[in-house]
Amino acid sequence: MQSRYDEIKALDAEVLGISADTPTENQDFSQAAKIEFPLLSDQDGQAMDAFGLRHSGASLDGGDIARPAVFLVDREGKIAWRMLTPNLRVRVRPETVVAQLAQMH
Amino acid sequence: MNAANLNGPETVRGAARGWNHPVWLGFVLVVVGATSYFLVFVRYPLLRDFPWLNLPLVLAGLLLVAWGVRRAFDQGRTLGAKIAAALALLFSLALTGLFTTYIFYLSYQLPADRGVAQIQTVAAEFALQDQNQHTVRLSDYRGQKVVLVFYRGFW
Repeated sequence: MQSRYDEIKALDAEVLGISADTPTENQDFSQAAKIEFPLLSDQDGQAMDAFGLRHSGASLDGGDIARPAVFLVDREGKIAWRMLTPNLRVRVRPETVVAQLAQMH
Repeated sequence: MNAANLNGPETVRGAARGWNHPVWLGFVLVVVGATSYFLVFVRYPLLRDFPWLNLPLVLAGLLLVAWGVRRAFDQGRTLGAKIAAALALLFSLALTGLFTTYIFYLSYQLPADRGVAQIQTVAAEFALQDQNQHTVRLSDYRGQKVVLVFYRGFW
């Protein structure tokens, strides 16, 4: 998403990255990859459960992690769009997100 | 002292010498093809969504190893060379099997879409720490649009 971040900001949107990594790991990653948006630590799984994304036993150490997904939340806090990938290899393209954001008010 | 060639007329020097190149080249291709997908080519969406580069590499490598094994036996190479070639084939088959199983089966093993948060519902609130250890809530962004990206960290 960083590659299209300027366009996303111009559409009055913010990006929040959520994974099970620790804040320290996110700090290292955001510096290395020059990420300008917040990377959130969902270590206890509250966000993945709230959105129904728990994938049991899928982590490298046998724990639970989220299946990859992107949600667009509108200004009133409702989910306007979501994309669940059909398999682990496919990722949501930033261009797709930009196009969807442009259609939201 | 060279092993006799049991398959045909005996040559002066007996078994073929030197590296059986197809076996080792093929083996390297299989290993490089399978590992480079995860280490290198996942950064390129077109090559990651489907392994257009890596799957042909792995299959080409496997064919090369198979041909090399046949070559090892046809040329009447030493027993050691035949065993090595056969082992390379076995390992290549296993690695190819693992790679294709991941691509065509394992990567599709995801929980059902049914349980996932639906469009038009209110997005659930959460409070999580960002990379600077500040607490961030989804409600902090009310009035703005938000792109929530759930990713898997390192992989």
